[in-house]
Amino acid sequence: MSEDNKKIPAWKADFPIKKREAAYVSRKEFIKLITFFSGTLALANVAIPAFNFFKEEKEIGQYFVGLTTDLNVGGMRTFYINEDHRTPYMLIRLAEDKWKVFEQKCTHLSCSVLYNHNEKVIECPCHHGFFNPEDGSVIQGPPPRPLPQLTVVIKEDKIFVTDFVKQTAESHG
Amino acid sequence: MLVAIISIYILLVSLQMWLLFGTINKALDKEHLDFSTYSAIASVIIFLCTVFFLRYVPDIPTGQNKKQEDENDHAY
Repeated sequence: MSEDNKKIPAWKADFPIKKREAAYVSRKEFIKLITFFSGTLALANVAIPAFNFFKEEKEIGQYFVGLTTDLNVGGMRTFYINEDHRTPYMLIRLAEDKWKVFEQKCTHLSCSVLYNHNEKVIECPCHHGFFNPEDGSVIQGPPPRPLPQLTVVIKEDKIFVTDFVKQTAESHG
Repeated sequence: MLVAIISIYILLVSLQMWLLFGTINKALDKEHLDFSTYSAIASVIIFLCTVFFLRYVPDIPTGQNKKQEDENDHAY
């Protein structure tokens, strides 16, 4: 055994791994990591439309909300469909014969939105997002999407809501 | 040169993140499926590009450019 080998402690001889080499990340390894991240993003981007394509649409049918005499012009009322308290809806009376129903959750961070009849806007008090009460489109603020809207049907002073109104590209914020 | 390649990679991944962000914001429901479809196709194409460009990135073996310092390397 040479003199040099005698100087090496036993623990060092058993684990001959240099810290510098072990911690070294080559550029190719770094780019491989970025490529892996890119693959994950591509997978997520494919998964969303695939999931939406096969997802069954929620059907409400006709749900009785109340009577037309319950609400004055400019009034607002919160209700739940089929006792599902996770998703509140708001019934608004814009004019004598103009009724609208929207989901009462802001599309930004799900705060409860309120109808302001004086300003003719639906307002989110959390981050000052404003929606158009005519079609639920975003007027101002951080909400990325319009409020989901339900179709209102009036039958002999009784208010019913049916399925969701399909959003047009123009109403998109 | 490698710095340019890494910059292009980061740019491509940023583009993918932007597409995914747009998809999440616009197409969480059945509406705007066309947008999310095109976004998904673009994202997959970008991913394939990044995989293809990997072959042009040279693999520098670990510690090769550190040889002259090995003599003084006592950090284990």
